[in-house]
Amino acid sequence: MGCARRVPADLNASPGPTTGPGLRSAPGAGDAGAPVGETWRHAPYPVLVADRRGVLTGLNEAARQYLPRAARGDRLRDLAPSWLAEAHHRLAEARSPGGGDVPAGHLGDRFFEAHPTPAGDGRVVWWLIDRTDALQAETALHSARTRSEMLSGIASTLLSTLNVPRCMEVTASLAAQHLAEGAVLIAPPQGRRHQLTYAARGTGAVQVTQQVDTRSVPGLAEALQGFPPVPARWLNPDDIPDWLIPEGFTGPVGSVIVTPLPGHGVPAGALVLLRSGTEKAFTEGEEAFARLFAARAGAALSAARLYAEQSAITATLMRELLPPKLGSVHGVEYAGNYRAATDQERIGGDFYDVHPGSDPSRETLVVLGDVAGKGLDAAVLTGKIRNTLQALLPLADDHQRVLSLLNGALLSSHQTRFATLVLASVRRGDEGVHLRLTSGGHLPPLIIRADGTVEEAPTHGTLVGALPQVRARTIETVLAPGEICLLYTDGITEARGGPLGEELFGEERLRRALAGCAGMPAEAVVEHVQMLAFQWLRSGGHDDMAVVAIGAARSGGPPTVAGAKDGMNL
Amino acid sequence: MSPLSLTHRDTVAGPVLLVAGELDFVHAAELRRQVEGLVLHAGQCLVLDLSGVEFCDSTGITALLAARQHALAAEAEIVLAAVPAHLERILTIVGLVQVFTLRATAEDT
Repeated sequence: MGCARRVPADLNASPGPTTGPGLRSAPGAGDAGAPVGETWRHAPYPVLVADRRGVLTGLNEAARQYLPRAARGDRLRDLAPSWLAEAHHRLAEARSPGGGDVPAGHLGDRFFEAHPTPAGDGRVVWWLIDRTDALQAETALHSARTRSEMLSGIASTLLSTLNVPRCMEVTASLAAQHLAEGAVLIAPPQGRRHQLTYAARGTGAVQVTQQVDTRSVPGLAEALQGFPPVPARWLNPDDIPDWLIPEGFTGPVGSVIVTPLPGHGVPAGALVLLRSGTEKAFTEGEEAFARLFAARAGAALSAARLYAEQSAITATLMRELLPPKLGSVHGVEYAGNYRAATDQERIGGDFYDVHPGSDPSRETLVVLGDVAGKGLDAAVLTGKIRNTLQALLPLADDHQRVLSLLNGALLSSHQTRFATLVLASVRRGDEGVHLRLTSGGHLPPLIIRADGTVEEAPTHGTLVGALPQVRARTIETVLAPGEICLLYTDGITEARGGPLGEELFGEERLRRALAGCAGMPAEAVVEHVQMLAFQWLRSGGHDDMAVVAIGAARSGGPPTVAGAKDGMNL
Repeated sequence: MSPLSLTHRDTVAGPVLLVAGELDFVHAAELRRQVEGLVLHAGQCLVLDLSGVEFCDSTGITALLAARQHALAAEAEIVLAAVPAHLERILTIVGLVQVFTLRATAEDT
């Protein structure tokens, strides 16, 4: 029972005329030669007087309350708790009040510190100061500190993941580790099923999704709806349905807490904490702590759930806005590459599409364009343009009409946000690939001939979406095997960098580079152009960049209709 | 990059805005704001002197289109003066050379 405690400074400083150091200024104290007087008999604290051999020579009324059978002449070792007897023995041997450690221990059901005052005749007066309440306060403070440390640890663990299932696992595991022997997290229903996360102390979390009757647990249905927590209560073990008992939970259920996990406006689920009959029931403090824990867990869970929802929405939208993968269609090679202006965004204001003809005798429509502006706003308009063009596919025989109709559709919604684009209708013929090209205010396509000459397709027209009328001129050309038609956006030619850092890549440089690409397959040309533009950029930022190459493959004529049934071979 | 500089003066025929520097994503909005703040009367002519424009991208074109919109709304005319070759090439590509009136100098001769 005994222990030697270093008394904290704040406890020594507590008020009271006879506590701690105050004793040393009492009459007689500090004067080892003074005889033991009689005033101690009236002290309001238990006082014992013992001689050098440990024989009790006196005790006051207050001491008698705790040691009713003590009498003068008894040995301390027999009547007093061992911590006090040993402290007296040490003091008698050392003939000094000793170091800073004040002897302390229990006497009956109270906790005392013992302060000695040595007298001249070798006797020692032991003043016993009741520290029970201070000890309780200290214990409470310690446990509050432990909990707050635990809570902040829990919070950082919980917030370190934005993955919903992981977040639920962490919550259940932490709860089973710190709050109860078993924990079950019940997520809000999806349809008629709940995702359940079980954890028992010392085991990992287990997740299952199943249909359960939440009304079978008193308070659970309410907690799932976010009603105020149901107080902890003794539950008849028969009231706990089997599905609520985590695997690895030992013994019958003793006490249970059901608490909601409050989310952002909507409940994030409910947490059930279970303790077996052999463990203590939840105290009021523990229940409050459980609610605090639930609040943290609920906030973390809803953050994770919101994030999951938003990233799913973003992913869905992005999928619609991302450029397609290109391959070979009806004996014509297509290759494309796209780089959004910012590395974080995979979408932007440039776009391209390849709409395969229904059979090899029909034209495939290729579109590449650029919406003024950057980022998501621009990307949304590219989506609108791409959808509109898809609807206009049956009219693709007449590029100018397609551009006029697109212009009308864009004018109605966006005032000055315009787009420029190139339409290319492509069909493989016997002598090569037939192209019809129309620029709607876009950079004219470049054609790499087999001999290395680079031609600018002499098509021009008005940008779309800004003016009431648009005009455009369509040109026709044929690509011999090995020749390439390149559609690109100004992100390539306006790439700024080079040896001086401020120079534009420019159309001239692009043409010279393309002259060296004669005979290369479409994919290689696209990669080469992207690589050159990127090398030119050095570290600076850049606009969206899109490149599409249309190539007449060297080998093979038009494929059979059957082989092209799917339209595109990726 | 040289930033955009805008100098405004009034003539009998209408305001003249000297535009110099870069009409890019960062700076074009400035031209747009300034133009939309100009008070134009019916029959006046807004002249944008573009002799000092070093670079113009799609947002620059947007600003020019907004200027045109602003002039038309006031029943005024708009003239692009002293357009550098590189900008004229861009205006040709996007099909705006027919839409805008281009003039060699800012002075009405």
